[in-house]
Amino acid sequence: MLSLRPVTEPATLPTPNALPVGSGAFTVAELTTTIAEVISGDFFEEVWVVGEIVGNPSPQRSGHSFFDLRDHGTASTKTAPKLPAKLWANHRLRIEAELAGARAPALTEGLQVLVRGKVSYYAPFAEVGFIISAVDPNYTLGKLEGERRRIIKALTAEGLLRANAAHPLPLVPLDVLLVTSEGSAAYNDFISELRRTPYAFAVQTVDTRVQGRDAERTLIAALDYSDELADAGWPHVVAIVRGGGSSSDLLVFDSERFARRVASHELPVVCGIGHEIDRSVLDEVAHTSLITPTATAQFLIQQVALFDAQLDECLHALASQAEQATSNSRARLLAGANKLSRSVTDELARERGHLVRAELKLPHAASAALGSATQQANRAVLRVRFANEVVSRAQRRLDTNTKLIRAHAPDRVLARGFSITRDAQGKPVRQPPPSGSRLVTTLAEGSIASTVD
Amino acid sequence: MSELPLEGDQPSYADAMKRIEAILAQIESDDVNVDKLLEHVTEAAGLIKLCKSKLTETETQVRNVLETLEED
Repeated sequence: MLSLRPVTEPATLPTPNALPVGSGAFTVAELTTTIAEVISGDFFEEVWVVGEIVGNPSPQRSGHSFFDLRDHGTASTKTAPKLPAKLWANHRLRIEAELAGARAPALTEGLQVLVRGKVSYYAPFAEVGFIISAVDPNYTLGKLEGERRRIIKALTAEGLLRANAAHPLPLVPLDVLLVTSEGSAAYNDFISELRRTPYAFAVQTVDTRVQGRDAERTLIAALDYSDELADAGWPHVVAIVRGGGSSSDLLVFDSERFARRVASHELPVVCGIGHEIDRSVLDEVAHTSLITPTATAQFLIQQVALFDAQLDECLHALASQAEQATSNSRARLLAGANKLSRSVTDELARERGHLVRAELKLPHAASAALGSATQQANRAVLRVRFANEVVSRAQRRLDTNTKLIRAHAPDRVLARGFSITRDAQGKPVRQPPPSGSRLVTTLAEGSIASTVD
Repeated sequence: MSELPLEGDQPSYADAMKRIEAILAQIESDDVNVDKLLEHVTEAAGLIKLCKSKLTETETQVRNVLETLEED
């Protein structure tokens, strides 16, 4: 059997103070009511609070929104103070319209806002809350613009603002990495615009969030993926597009982290974010900023078309030069052929001339040679005749001399009674030879042999 | 008589012409050799005939070749 211990008064019962007491202790309800009264007493009027929205401010099914306000930058801190905010449906609708009218971003996580409201204490949750009745659109706008300017200033100072623009756009940017929400209107606009051309665009799409909390992460991941592809030499250009949206939808494109990632990207990044008037940080930092996804596609098409036109021009210039060269060559060839024909004809005629002359010369030369020989022969005949003459003359002289000699011939002398006496050697004697020599004396008729006395 | 370099059986046109000129020069000079005269004249006449036929042949072939150019 259980024995119940009697309830005794705890020794450490706190001493009640000046507030109304019953049995010396508050009931919870009493205390919380008191708390509520104190709070509403001190915070009788509405106050303006500046803070950062933490948590999802989207309305619940009831139409009411619940989120926290914290000081800027303390969203992840565990000990920094937070203020639970409540936005009742009726207020919410009005505020949303106001924000939209002022072209300010709708309430969204991470947004810095200036809100007006009343501090309240909700006993069941023991929660101090803040009931929002108004939002100052200009504060948020101002903050955003300020932030934009700060980022741009920092990037400019670091030389990063136009860093991506420094990468030259390829002459023929046919390989495109498309970063967008796949299947969205922006996606379809972009793709169909490219498909309308005859050019061989090759598009790979990275499906990303283009608004909300995940957007920054997925967009940066898309660029990381682009780096991976770049090792394989693909693509030529990165295109980031999305359709029109509210200011809060487009907040991610003012992200500093994303902007820096784009600035440092090795490939040119072109963007087509469907703003109406505004320019986000991405527009400043991208290689080229276009106003819509369609315009972005058209920009790329223009680059290719320009190259195409230049090729055409080159082709025409080439064709006309080739034609010119051909006709020049043809003319030269024709001139050469004519010259050849003339030269050959002249040369052959010259040769024929030589031959004809030689042909004419031959008989003349032969005749002349023969004539010359004949002349020589005639001269020889004359000389022979002359020789004959000489011989005849000699002969005549000889006859004459012979006659003379005959007249003085010894036998005639002998006939006249002379004699020739010869010695033993047969020599005619002119002096008496020594006695005893034998002599022969020849007479006209006969001879006498004698001896000298 | 000098030896003519032969192309096949016949001397070249140029060589034949040279020989013809040489023979003529010899005949025209006063160095008359009656024995050789007949030989020289026969040779020269033969070479002239040869050159004439070569020339005519060349003229014909050249004309044919040039005509093919005009066909294009």
